[in-house]
Amino acid sequence: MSETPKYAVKGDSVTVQFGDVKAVNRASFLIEAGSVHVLLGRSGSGKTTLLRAIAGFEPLANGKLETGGRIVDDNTKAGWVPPEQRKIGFVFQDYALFPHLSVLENIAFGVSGTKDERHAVARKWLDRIRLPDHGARKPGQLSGGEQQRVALARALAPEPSLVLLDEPFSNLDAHLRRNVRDETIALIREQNATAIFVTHDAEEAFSVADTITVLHHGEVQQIGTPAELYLEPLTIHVARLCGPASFLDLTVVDGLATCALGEVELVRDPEGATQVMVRPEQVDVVEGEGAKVTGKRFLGAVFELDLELNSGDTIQARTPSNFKVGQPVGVRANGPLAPLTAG
Amino acid sequence: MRTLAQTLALSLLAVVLTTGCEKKEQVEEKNNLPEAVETAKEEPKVEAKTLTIYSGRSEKLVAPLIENFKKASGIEVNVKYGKSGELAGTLLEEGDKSPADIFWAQDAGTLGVVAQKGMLAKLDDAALNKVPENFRAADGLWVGTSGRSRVLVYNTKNVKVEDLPKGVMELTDAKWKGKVGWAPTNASFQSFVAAMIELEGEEATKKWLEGMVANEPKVYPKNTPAVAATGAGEVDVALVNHYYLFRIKKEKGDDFPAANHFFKNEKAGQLVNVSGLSTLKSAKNAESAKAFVEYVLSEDGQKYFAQETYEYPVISGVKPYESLPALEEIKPPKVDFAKLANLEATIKLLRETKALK
Amino acid sequence: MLLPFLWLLFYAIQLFDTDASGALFASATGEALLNGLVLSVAVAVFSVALALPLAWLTHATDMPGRKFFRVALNLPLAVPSYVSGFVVVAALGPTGWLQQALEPFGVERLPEIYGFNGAFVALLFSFPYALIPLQAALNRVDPRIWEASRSLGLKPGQAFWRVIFPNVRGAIAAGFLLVGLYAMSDFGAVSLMHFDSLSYVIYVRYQSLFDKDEAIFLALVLAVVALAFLAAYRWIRGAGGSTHVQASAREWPTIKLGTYRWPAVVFCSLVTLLGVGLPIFTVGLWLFRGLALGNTVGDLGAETWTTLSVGIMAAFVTVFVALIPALLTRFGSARVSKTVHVASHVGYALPGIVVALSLVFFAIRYAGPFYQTTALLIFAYVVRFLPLALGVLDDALESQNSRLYDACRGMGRSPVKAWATVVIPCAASGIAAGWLIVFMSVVKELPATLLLSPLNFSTLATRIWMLTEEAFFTAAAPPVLVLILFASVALAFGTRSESA
Repeated sequence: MSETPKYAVKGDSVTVQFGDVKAVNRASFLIEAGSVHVLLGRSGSGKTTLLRAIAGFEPLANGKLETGGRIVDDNTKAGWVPPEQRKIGFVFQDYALFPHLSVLENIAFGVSGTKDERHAVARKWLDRIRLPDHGARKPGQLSGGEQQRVALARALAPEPSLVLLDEPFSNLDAHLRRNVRDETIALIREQNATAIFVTHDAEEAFSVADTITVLHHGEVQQIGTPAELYLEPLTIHVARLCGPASFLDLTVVDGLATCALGEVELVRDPEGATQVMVRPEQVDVVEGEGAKVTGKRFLGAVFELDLELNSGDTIQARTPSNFKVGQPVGVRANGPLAPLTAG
Repeated sequence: MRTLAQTLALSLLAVVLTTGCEKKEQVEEKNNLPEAVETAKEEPKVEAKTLTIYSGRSEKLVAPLIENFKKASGIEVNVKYGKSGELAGTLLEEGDKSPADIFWAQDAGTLGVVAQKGMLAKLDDAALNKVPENFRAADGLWVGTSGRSRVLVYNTKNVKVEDLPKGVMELTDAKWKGKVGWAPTNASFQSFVAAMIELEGEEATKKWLEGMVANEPKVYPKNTPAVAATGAGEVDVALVNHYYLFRIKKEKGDDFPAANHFFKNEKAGQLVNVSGLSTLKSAKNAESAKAFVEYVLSEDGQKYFAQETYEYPVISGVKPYESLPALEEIKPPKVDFAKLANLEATIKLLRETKALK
Repeated sequence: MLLPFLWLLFYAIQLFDTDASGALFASATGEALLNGLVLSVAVAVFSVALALPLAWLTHATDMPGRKFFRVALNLPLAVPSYVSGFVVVAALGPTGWLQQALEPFGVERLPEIYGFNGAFVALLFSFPYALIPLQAALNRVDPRIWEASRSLGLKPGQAFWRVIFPNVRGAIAAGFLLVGLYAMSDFGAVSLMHFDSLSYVIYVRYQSLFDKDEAIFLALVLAVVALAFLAAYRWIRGAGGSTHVQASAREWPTIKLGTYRWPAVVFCSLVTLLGVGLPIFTVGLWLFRGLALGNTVGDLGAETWTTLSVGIMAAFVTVFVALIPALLTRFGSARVSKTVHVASHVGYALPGIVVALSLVFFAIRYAGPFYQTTALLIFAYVVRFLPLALGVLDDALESQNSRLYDACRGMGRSPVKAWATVVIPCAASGIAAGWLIVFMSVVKELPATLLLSPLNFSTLATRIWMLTEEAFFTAAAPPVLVLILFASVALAFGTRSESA
């Protein structure tokens, strides 16, 4: 424990099985210490199961898991470290506060030391989460946002080096969510803890994550920074998950890539890719020919246009200029596009 | 699923409530018979006669007989079955509002209690005279319908016939220590003790009870488990009524290792208890009740008890169950059941001697 | 609810200056009271101790067959005490099967089971009264609080005692109360095992009608004991206010037993075998031996229908009535509901015969048209078994988040509508448990059924009693088996609606 390991969590071909179903299938990943990492995916993608495996709630059927440089599960009975020895904080989607204990006792629950010491720590946390007067209340008497903060304080109070959060903001309404989210990240960063969030919301993932793992049907599809995932997705699924996108057929002849937008640059070697992804803001719309405006939405700073290309494909584009519906326009890509294999 | 259950429940509620009420109306209607003492209400005459019986005798035992009566008389019979003591308790609570016409009890004792409260009507002399004096109440308020002899049932594997005691008094002998079963809460047993007090005096009875208790008898709640325990060898002998053995043999097979031993030349030990019928003063169907008493005391009725319940018939001319010794052979003591019915002294003595808690 | 108590008082006042009141101070009464208390506390404690691991294993672990055991473990409740007594004697008696099995090893006789031991074992058949509330409570506990406590550094054992146990305390208290009062008032088992508990002494007094007066005073003592149990209940339950438990999104089980799976299965199987297997075997033996000897069993159609319809209806009515005070506690006048609570438990602690006779007294005088109708009988069941539903429901409603109700009112629903559409459905698992427990008690109830039913009325319970009383064991077997079948179906339904 003398040297800080570079990676907070290392997964090596992690597989979690429920009966015949592989909820997580051969997932390998590295999560840097001190970073905020997000497991992103639709429901049923295995993201929560993976999080629970890291916490020690689900044993591995195959593969290996390390946290803080120590093997916590090597899919053997002997190698499995029970959750209470992993020193991991866990924040549940519905918070799972202990209903029979007061707020103060909830926060003090995992802290070690005498009762006074534990309560002192808990009171410090009550201040930090701006609920100094709520210590004596029962969780049932708090609002959703307050419960979320208590749950976070309870997970952080024992000072774990790793905090796992399972869709912690999904039960909060939109305007509350952003505040609580920022606060949560600030508290975690303050602790120098590594955090792993689970969410199905790409926008949320982008706003908190240093790095993101995208899961689909239990398999890792891509690991990268938010920008990488957004602009250089490896699969159509990742492309769709991370934001609005249109897809055009791609032909590559002698290293020259063309699609319905004409000749385009690619972000990487196409390697047999048959499509390119076009984000709405990757298209410049100008006066001219080549496409027709079929729909228009005002988004504030920009307009979002539905365009029908002469090839018959439809794409979306964002532009500050106000074009009319039915008007012919010219289109071109304003940067390199991501090539994708179809399917 | 929950809504399905709710619908089901509601419909059931409707069905049961309506049938329940209908039944009640039926009963009330039929109670307004021309024979009823009060005919104040000018109801049209209802054709069907009815009769309501509270029976402390088991349905399994008497229902076929009641069914035969229904067929023979055309009278509609309603029955409530229960424990004799509890039905008597119910009658006392109901008072003169009781729907019952007839109270049929397992034992003379409970009849005595209801009689004491003045709730019973005197029976017809014709019916009473068919039955020997010692099998009916001297004041004519109830009449015996069948008899049960007290016996000592014994385990045929563990006890030789020649080792059996001649009389009940010998059971206090030390050689029976821990080997006797009895059921001191059982009404028949209590009548037997009452008879002993009557015939041998309180002092002798007390001595006998003390001797028995000192011999550490096994206590059973009633006759059936006592007989079953005897066959199982838990005890060697038990003081019970004679007919349980036949029932248990029918359930467990003829190889059930137990037999009845009838005491001879003794007084209380060969007491024959009776179950008895009475009619209530408040009866609304006195005629039907009279018909029922007559039927139970008829040759048909008495044969039924002899053949189907293995009890002793109470009228002359009907023979007991095949293997049973005739009453004349047992020579049951002549005791006044009205006196036995007053069990207060008996219970007091049983308590005093710790035979009863 | 207080009618039986009033009836007792009515007589007690009349009899106060007679000898009978002396029974109150007799040393034998004290002894019987002590016996009864020791017995019922022992049975209650042991039942809770048995129910706790069983409920946990069947709800929170990956024990094989847990769904089966969830139903099967409750089945002993279907065995009436007047049958379980026979079963215990047949199996454990000095020369019972256990002795016969041990005979090759030179065991000629087992120690006496009559007295405390026998009564204790026979009454243990009532342990599902503790198990059912516990199962319902565990069902409402969010399994993630278990995980939360584990990730906060607790070992499984610690997590159970510090997190799960406090959240099912109300149910444990309810179970303790129900089993304790049952053991206190039952006399089927104590009379067969002739153990001189208070209820046995009352029973003996009632049997010989001459001591009815003394019985009245003794029954009053029993009523006071009920209050003591109620105090113990409140103490176990804890003074703590409402602890709400969130509706759990994820289902149990979560705990992997590993190699402990098989000992767990053996444990559950053993309890099931003793609690249900043994009665079924005993009764089956009656049946087959009897049939081989040419005995007949008779038709059960009418009894089955009566038992089923009256049982279902009485259970619904009782649960409905029980909702009123439970809701009052939750959302309104606590004092009124507390009174109802106390009163109803007194009714439950009194022997059935006392309740039945008191209702005879009142009904024939003040409710003549209802006398000997099904309606009165159902009323009697409500009086007798209301606490069974109350305890479970209280716990279910108390653990519910009051915001649910507020939210509903906020959306413009009237209070009644809010209860009907949100509060009650959300307490469904508790309501199902309450229903079940009442249903099982009604279908085997005897004294009130015998005395208060309409004429020509018979249920499976009255039939079983009547047949065993007269040693018609062959014919008694089918109704016992039908009762167990009912229980299985009802329990299977109950557990399904809980997980739905």
